[in-house]
This record gives sequence, C-alpha cells and structure tokens, in this order.
Amino acid sequence: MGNAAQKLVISKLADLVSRSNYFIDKLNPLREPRNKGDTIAIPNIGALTVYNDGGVAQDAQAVDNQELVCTVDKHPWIPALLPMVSQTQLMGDGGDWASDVALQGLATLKNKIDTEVIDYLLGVAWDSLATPAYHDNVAGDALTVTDVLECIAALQSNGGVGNLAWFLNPFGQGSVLNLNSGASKAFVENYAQDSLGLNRLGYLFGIPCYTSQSVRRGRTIVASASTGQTTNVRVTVGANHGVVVGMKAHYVSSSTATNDIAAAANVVAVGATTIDIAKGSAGTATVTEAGTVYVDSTENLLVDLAGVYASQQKMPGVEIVKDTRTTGSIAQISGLYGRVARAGRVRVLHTPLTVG
Amino acid sequence: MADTTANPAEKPSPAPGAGAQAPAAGVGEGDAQGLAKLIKDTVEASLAGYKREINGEQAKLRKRLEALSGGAGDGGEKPEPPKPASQDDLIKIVRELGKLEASVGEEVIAELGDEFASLPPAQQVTMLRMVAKVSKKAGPDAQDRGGNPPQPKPTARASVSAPRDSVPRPRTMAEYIALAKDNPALKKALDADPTFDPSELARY
Repeated sequence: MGNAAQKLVISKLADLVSRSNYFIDKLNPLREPRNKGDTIAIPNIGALTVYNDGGVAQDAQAVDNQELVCTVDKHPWIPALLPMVSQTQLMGDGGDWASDVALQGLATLKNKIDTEVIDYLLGVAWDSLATPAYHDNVAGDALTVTDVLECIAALQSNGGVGNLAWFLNPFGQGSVLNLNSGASKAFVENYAQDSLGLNRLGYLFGIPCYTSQSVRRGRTIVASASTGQTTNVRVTVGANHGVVVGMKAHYVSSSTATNDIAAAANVVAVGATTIDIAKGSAGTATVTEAGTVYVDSTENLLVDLAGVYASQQKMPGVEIVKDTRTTGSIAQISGLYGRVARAGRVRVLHTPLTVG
Repeated sequence: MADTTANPAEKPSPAPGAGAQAPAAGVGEGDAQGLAKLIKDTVEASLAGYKREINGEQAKLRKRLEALSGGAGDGGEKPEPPKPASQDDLIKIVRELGKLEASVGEEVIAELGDEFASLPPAQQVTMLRMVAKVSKKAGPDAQDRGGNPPQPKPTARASVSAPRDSVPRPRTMAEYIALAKDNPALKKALDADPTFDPSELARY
C-alpha cells in the first residue's frame, strides 16, 4: 500500500486530468507510451493516380506510405519539497494542500509541455526560403482580414480542410478582436470555459480560437556567437530555432556591443543554426560569446489538429519520496510524451508584440 | 467406578463445547440415563437457536436462488452464479465440507435435516461455517487452509452473489480517471477505501 499523501495527490490529479484541456490534449492522440524511447509509426498513404478508362490495361501503382514516426523522448518532471508540517496538512481539512500541490504540479507540467510542443511546431513550419512557405504577415505588422484569410486558404489548399484550430497568444487574441473594430465581423464570440487549460474564445472565420500563454510572443533564442558582416550580423544559435526570412528580430550580446542590434530589424537570411539580422553598420568579426536573439512579433498558430500527433501519459507520474536531508519529503511529478507533425499542417500567423 | 458403557442413543461429541460430559464416577445406570437425557435436552435446546438462524438463512438463500433463476432467460443478461466450478474447486469444497461436518458434529447435521442435505455443497459449506462461528465449536481444522472457497470470504450474510454486491474497481489508471468524470460518487467511495491504492493500477 502506497503513501497516504501520495494517494491523496493522485486522487486530486485524476480529477484534474479528467478535464485537462491543454494544447497537447487537443492534438491527434496516439496510444499512451509504454516507456521512454517508445516509437509509434503513423502510416499515411500518399496520393493515388486515377486513370481515365478502366478498359485500358494498366500496371498497378505502388502505394507510397508516407510514414511518420512519433518517438516518446520527452520526460519533464518537477521535484517539490514538502516540509513535514505541510504533509500533515495534506491529510486534513479536505486535503486542500494536496489539491494545490496537484493543481500546481499539473498546470506547471502541462504548460511546460505545451511550450515545448509549440516550439517544436515552429521548427516544423520553418524553412530557409526567401519567401517562407508556412508564415503569414511574417513582418508582424498590424493584422488585417486579408492576412487571416490567406493563412486559412494556404493551409486548406495544402492538405485539405482538416480539423483546424487557432491558438493565439493573449496579445494575438487582442489583435484578432481588433479586427472587429472595422467593418469586418471576422470574430464570433462563443466563450467556453469548462475545463482546465485553454479556453475557447469563439470562432475566427468559422475556425475555433483558443488562447494560451504558451503561444510565443517576443520569444528569446540563446546565441553562442555573432559575426559582424557588411550589412548584417550573423548570429549562431541552436537547431530548430524557427526564425524565417522576413521576421523582425534584434540581438544583444553579452559584452561586445559592436554587434548588438538594439531595435527590431529584418531577418535577411537563415540557416539551420544561423540567423542573419540586418544592421546598418558593419559589426565586429566573429565574436564567440553568449548573446540573445529577441523575436519581435507574436507567433500565433493555425493548426490542422489531424496532422499533428502526440503520445502522452494521461496521468502524470507521482511519487512522494523521503528527503534524506530534512524531515520532509519530495513530491516528484513527471510526464512522458512524444510528438510529431506532418509538414505543411501548421502555419504561423504573426501579429505585433502589442495589440494591433 | 465410571460407567464407561456409552448410551447407544448418544455418541460423544469429538469437539468440546457441546455440553456432553462423561458420567461422573460412581453414578448408577438410572442416573446415567437421566444424565444422558439431560445432556441431550441441553444440546437440543442450544441447537434450537442455531436451527432457527440457519433456517432463516436457508430461506433467504432459497429466495435469492429463485430470483436468479427466475430472472434468467430474458436474453442478454449476464450469467450470475453458478459459474462452472473446476474439478479442483469441487474437490476443495467437498474436502472443506467434510472438515466442517466433523467439526460441528453429527447432532447439528441431523438437526439441520433434509433441507440442508438437499443444498449444493458450496452452500452447505457456507452454512456450516456460520454454525461453527456461532457455536464457537470450530476447531483448528475448520479454519486451517480451507482451500479455495467459492465465495470470497465468509460473512454472516453468506452472500451468494459476491461479485454483484462488491464495489466495482477500476483496473487501469485510465478507468480511474474516467470515474472522476463519469461517476464521481464511486470515485469518492474508492478514495475513502483504505484497501484501494490508485498508484498500484496499471496505466492502461
């Protein structure tokens, strides 16, 4: 028989998980993972050729299986110290302490997972083209109805109508609601808040809209080096940075100010691990030092939920173990998940950092 | 001198507590017979209470069986007892029945009469367990490794359809989570049950 406090936390978690409605919960669900490293193959038969006349002999065509593999390789966790005195509170007065531990643990874990998955999708929507294929209003200018309609049309024309949903940062939400200030009534309010996680605001051109702080606004990217070139600074960053040509960004180094770009500037070129940001004057040749790239837009998402898959443990792992250094215990709350998306099933709709 | 000639109408009980006692030393034949009658009357009086209780339980069991067999045939109903017992189960039941009969004594068996004899062995076992418990005649043999009884545990109510009466428990964590939404009252009852630990559930 397990720890009584652990049982209480699990009980509270089960109540919360039964109505969990976070970003990852909305994706196309795969079976629960058996262990870290588990792989799940997702078949997808490619387009087939239709011939005109059945009376004409024709060799059977090969079936192209565009298989995706979801690898469960993410294992986020939270160790929380429970002082001994607090543990006794877990048992009393309806277990309010246990409720708070469970709620905070689940919300924190899910928010972290959501952020990681959204960052992953920004990487899926990335390319190095001069005109990015999966981004709309890439410069992050004031949002217009045309921007929204082009985003919808581009996604639907690249793989079908699908099961679409908008995921907006709160400031992106403001920009969308701002559309209604004109003649257009693009947004229809239909508020729904009956679960833990994302709230549905309404419908933007018939597509449900959800708001989440996990949707990126002004995100930062760690840089390890910068190189001053004639008219730009090339910043070296990690892979899957998600920045495309045409976005606005700026760079701040840890010490060599000559490569700094103080205000939002155009991204003129990108590579797998490099971002070239326009700079009016020549900078300093390669400087290997820490720095930060700041994205100057809000990166809202239009997602075909049928084309993005997730395998996750529904119930977080919970263990309460003895802390040998104090009289208290440690609550370990963990998740296990994997995700994979088909190319072209996610589009990024940029809006300004402030409502507009 | 003790009269060691046993009265042919009375056999000594193998277990203590029946009230039977050996005639005192130096007692004459008439006194022995009177004593034997006294003992018999005492035994019958004490058994009368058991008999009433057992008959009552029998009646309840009979009604339940009738209800079960009367409800069958509607089609689509899940079969309740009897589930076909395996050979091993039957051997264990018969073995335990023998032990319990030896434990409670032939007088009790005789008092229970033909109705008891007509019951299936599994129900006989249940009733004799109750008698042994009530009379406190049960010796170590009756409690000793009773094999695999068909009912989960002996109770005063001698429940026949134990699976129907017990609270259904989730088998997996997924089912437990579903209870939070579909049947919160059941989940609350399970959470209050000290024998239930959700951390021991399989994930799926």
